[in-house]
Amino acid sequence: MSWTWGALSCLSAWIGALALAPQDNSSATSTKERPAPSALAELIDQSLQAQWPEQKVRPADPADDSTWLRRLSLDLCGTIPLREEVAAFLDDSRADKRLRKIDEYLADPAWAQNFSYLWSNALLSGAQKGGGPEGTRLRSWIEGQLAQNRPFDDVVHELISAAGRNDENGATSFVLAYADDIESLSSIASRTFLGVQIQCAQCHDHPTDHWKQDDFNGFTSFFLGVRGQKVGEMPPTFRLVDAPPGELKSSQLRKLRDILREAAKNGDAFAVDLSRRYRRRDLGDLTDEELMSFLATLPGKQREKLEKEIERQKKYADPRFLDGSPLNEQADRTRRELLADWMVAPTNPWFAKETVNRLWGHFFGKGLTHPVDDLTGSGDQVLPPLLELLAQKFAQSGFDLRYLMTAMARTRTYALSNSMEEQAERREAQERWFAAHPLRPFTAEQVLHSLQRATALELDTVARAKDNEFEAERRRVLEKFRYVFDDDEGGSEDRFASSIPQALFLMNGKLTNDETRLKNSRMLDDILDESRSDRERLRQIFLATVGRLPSQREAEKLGRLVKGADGGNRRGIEDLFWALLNSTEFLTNH
Amino acid sequence: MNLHPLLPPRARTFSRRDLLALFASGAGALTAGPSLLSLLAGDASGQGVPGSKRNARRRLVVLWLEGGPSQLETFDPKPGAQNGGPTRALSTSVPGWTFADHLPGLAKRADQLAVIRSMTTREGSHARARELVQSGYVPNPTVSYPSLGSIVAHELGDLAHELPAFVQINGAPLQAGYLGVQCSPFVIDKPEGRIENLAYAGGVDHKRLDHREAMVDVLDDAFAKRGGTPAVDANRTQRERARRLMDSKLLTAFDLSQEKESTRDAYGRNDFGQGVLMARRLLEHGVQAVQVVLNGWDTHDNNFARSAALCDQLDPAFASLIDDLKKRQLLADTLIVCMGEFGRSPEIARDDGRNHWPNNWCVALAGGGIKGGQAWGATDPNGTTIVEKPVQLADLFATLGTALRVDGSKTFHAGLRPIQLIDPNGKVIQELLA
Repeated sequence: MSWTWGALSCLSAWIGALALAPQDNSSATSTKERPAPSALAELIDQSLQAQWPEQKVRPADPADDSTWLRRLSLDLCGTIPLREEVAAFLDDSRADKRLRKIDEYLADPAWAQNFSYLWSNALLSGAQKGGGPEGTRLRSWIEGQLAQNRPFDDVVHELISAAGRNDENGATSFVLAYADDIESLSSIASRTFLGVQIQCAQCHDHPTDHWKQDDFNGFTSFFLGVRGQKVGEMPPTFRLVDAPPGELKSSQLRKLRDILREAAKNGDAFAVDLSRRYRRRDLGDLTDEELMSFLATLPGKQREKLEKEIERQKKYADPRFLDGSPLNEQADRTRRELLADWMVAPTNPWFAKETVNRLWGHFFGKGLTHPVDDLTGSGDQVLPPLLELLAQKFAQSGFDLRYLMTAMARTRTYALSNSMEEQAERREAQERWFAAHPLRPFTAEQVLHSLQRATALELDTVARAKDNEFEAERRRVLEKFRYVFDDDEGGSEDRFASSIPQALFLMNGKLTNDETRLKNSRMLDDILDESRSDRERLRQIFLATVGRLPSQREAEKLGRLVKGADGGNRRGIEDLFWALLNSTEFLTNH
Repeated sequence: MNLHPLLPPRARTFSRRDLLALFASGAGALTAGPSLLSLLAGDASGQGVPGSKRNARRRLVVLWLEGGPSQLETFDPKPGAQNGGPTRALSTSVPGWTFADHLPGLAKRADQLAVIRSMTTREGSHARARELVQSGYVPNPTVSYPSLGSIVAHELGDLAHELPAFVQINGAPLQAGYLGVQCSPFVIDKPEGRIENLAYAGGVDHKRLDHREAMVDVLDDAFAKRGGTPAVDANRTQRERARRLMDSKLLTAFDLSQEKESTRDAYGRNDFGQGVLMARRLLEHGVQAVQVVLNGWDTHDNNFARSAALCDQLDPAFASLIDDLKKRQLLADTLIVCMGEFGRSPEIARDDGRNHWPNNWCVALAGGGIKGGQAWGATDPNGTTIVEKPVQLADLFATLGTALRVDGSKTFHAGLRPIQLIDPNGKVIQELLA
């Protein structure tokens, strides 16, 4: 922990000052409970700035307009800006143009889509095959919620506790994506929404954190009652229900009865034999004693399987909140509803903090606490009081995501350039204290959208109609991109380890070659149509790809190379287009 | 994984011309010369000629039987038993030891095989079991565990070689996780036909690509000056390697037309057989690990006919690989591992099928570090339980790690979590090692 008393007193002063902060003209208005976004932004800036002398880091220069705009577009909308947009922004002389841009992007449908990927990718990361069709439904549902700026606590409450048909309530798709795998489900829920990594405690007490196996079991117990009932074939439709807590508590052999009932339906020999022996048609009616005596007669493998299931039922019999809060089971609330209540309550130690931390990581490159979803671990924590405060304000705002993002995007910190330090350690120190903006490789979604935009493959806005076929195609393409551009967030220190397949794709792939050819490229067509001079052509191609104007030096050197191409100017233009798409800058969020 | 462990801290940004100049003397050479990294570090030993006993960096071939091959129809037949089905047993060249009669080629070469018949795991779902058995670790939603091929690429491969260190032919690849994306398998779908994106794009020849790269250099140099150096350096390395791969004379490794027709026939004229042949070529051209996938073993119905047909592909390919490697004096330094994600149920289910069965299944080993001519572990006459020497997955990986001469205790980090290269909880089975 390395924050100073100076920083603490600075923060305290700001906490006091926040209550008196003046109103500003943003669409996210301030209320008695929450400061105006600009005031919150100022707080962030002051808190970090106060650390820099102590930490011996100097801030990088402020980023220029084109850098800032491109960064904002990628972070908020998941794609590079359109070239017309860049040109207009550079020409815009209004003092508040950046504030307006932030508001504009937050209201754009692309924003909702972009962040639906952020959360659905995280939520589906433990599911088989990325959740399959449930995954698509989930992402789509989240997008809808974000588009209305529904309070985030409500969104998460529904994701955890929703019941009913998945074709009527897409929120059920989160739980359904995990089918019977409640261990993975609970791990992902805990990690994504609370920043608590309990999965390490699944098989043994966590080696470095303070979580115990009992904690894992207690948390997972909330999900024990989930059942996905198939209610339709084409397309496969499920209803998500919960076994009532009373039933769970009293019978650990419920699952055994389910198995037997199924077996009887399938006409399995031993089930038929059993119903004959006990004179019951519905094997669900067998008493516990009858079941136990039956178990004893089963051959080894089957008995083992059933005994394992009983063990599992026992393991997850007693739900417990991670912070030791009392659990009051009520007849009319399912366990998942009780869990959801606890998770998003203002008294929950982690929910608001984790949401803030995750979004901080999204904008600033890494969380205030690192890793972004490990609040209670032994990782690096920069300025914990700031995270606490932001979490408080976020909660008080009614868990308003747009409000939080407005504040973050308005900071001077967000508008810093990249580090110019040559020595790795100095660079790291600068980035650690957010005194310089980090370099980040594109996510797979950003690659897809940006390549499409740069080549004008899709002229309409990034948020397209979401019919099933398009979704399926998009998923297929993204899967391919995800493999080619996988930046293994599993833990590689070197975030820029691009690979040979990636390089080959960019160098020789259809997308960067066919779509940059004059006879195919709508982008080049438009640019050549509009431009009166070589210089103008160059500028437009730069705007379309890297979102900025060329420097004098670049214009000279590249101008010469374009003219000197075999086959003349027109081939040279194709080469330049290709080169911009293959440049490091293009696929870097900087 | 740090891409540049040996570069001095203040590495300047190399331009493409600098790099080309450094390679000028070795460009296009058939053998793998010292890498750029090793030159900079002052270490000129490099990789050496593939197959050279001087180096003895072991290589790996994984013959992956996707779907879960039936042990009763391959290496642990039970003819005459209640669960045996119609499969007959064939005597092998090792007295008292039998294989299913669909593996005559391997039966003849049993003296060079070690087969574990008592593998036991607990994962019965394809995707999880595949991750489990290929990586040696129980799948975890928060960590990507690398496969054995990636481990070999990282520890033994030359990541600066013109060809990728780990190639996979067919099938779904496992990511290399904390070993870094360079160690992820370079996947080709079929051994015949084009490799995706490897060829120059239409309308672009060598000269034009050079011209294009010159433009990229201008842009990258400018970006580096504005604070983009780490990204530019990493990107340049990969682009250089990709280009070298495209231009590499070693690409003939992927060209099966270089082989005699009789050789191609011997391996089997099917995707798997030709893929195994390609694996041999790749090893000879400096690739450290190859995984060839044979799909179709998930025989929930018609198990006997389907397994027989698959064995008709497996047997000649595996047998030819052994012969071929031996002939070229590469067998002693190449570990061959043949397995799937689990076995199949002894109880014959409806439609003549066998279901998933992780309780006892087989792994066949040959080549580098392995003592052939033995069956390790045994199952009861009905094939439903292990009666001798059960082998846990960690034991298998410990043994393979030793055979490959890899230091399994090396520690990496997924986030903050330390993970050893190979699960430390396994015991090496010394008797399997030569």
